[in-house]
Parts: sequence; structure tokens; C-alpha cells
Amino acid sequence: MAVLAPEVRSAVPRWLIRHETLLAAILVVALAILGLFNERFLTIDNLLNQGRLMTEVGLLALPMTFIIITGGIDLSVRIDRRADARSCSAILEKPWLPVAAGDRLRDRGRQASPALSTGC
Amino acid sequence: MPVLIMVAATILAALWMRYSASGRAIYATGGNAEAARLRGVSPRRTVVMVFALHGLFAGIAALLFATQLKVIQSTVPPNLELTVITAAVVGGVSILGGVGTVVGSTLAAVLIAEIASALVFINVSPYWIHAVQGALILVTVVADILRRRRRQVGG
Repeated sequence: MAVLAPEVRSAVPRWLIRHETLLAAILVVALAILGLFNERFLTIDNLLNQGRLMTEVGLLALPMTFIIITGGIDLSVRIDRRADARSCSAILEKPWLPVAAGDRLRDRGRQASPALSTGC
Repeated sequence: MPVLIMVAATILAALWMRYSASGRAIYATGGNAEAARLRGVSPRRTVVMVFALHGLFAGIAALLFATQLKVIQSTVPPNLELTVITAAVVGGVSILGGVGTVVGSTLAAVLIAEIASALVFINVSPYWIHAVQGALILVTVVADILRRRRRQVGG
């Protein structure tokens, strides 16, 4: 937006606000309809559980926003997450041996190497 | 707890993109890389920074999930990248670059998670989720293109 002309710049934020307001409105309406549809939907337990489920996508959507804004696209999300989760588990297993964790990750990563090469 | 982390990350990222020089550089690179370069922004550095951030966030997400489930399944989120891209695109990020906000894509991620569980709640087969996601992408991209065309005509 820094590269847009001034008259366009004054119009763009209003449109952005509208898009997000629209999304929020859709969300509220969807919640309300679902709440009417099924009385078990709007319970604290269910909403908390859903919050837990959406966190992953939400967290990964943030940097994907950056990447798409720069004009690129990243298809390596799943591989990243897998490798990170594996190294995390390896380190949790043997916290005193990050080197061993790296070895384990490399051994397992070898199986997934065709997929890795199609990553970024 | 994970929800709190997500909210905090969203707010931080939104502030960062709006007010810091490196955040604005992302928009500049996406809007017009050549113009950004002439204005003193290094497009290559911005792109590398953005992908590095992506790795960081993937790490945070993986850490949250590894500690929550205590099980690491390499195939557990099928089509995760499609879901994430859907979230970003539905959130108003133009697939052509240069336009979009973090708050929008977070809202869209919440909406998609909502739809996924809603299908189960209203007794629709969960296999329809891909159809719904595809329809969402289609609608948003068409709306984006129409909006761009109108702006070009108007401007």
C-alpha cells in the first residue's frame, strides 16, 4: 500500500475494514445459526475445543499472509510442521542430547526427502 | 492457552505489518518489487525474512500440538497447506500480492475451523469439507478479480 497513489490509499483502508467486518459478521451469523440448529454447539466445552483445533491453522495462516502478500506461495507448510514436531518430540525425549535429536530427525527426514525437495 | 498464543501473535503481527518499516516492506515488495527496490527495500531480503518467519510460526504451531497430543503423526493434518492458503485467501489477501491483512486471515481461519465442525454438527458428511473449501477459494478469488477490474476502470 505504500506504493499506491494517495487517492487510492485513502480508499483502500476503508475497503479492508469492510472486508474484515464482513468476515466477522459471517462468523457471528454462522455461530448463531449453528447455535439454533444444535443446542450442544454453543457450549463452553465445544467452543474451547474448537479454539484448540483452529489454533494451528490460525498460527500458520499468519506467515502465509506475509508470503502471499509478497507475491509468493509456500507449499511446504506440512513438511515444516512435521519436521518441527518430530524434532520437538525427539528433544522432549532426550533433552540432554540435541545432537541425537538432530540425528534422529535426519534419519527420518531421509524417508521424506522426495517430499522435502518439492517444498520451497 | 493455544488460543491466547494465537490471539497474541495475531495482534503483534498486525501491529508489526502496519507500523514497522520491515512490515511495510512486505506490502511494497508484493505491490511492485521493482519500485520497492528503487525505494531502497531489498525484495530478496524481505522474501527470505518472510519465509523464515513462516518456519518460526510452523515451529510454534508444531510445538503446541506436539505437547498437546503427545503423539507425532506425520500425516495428521492432510491438506494442511490447502487449508492455510484458503484461510489467507478468504481473509482478503490477494493471491496476486500486495493486498491483505493479518486480522482478516485469522478471522478466516476461525471461520474455516467453524465450518469444518459445523458440517459434523448439521449431519453433513465431513468429506464435503474440501468441496466447501474449494467453493470458498473460488468465490473469494472471483470477488478479488472483479474488485480489481472495477478499481482499474474507476481509477
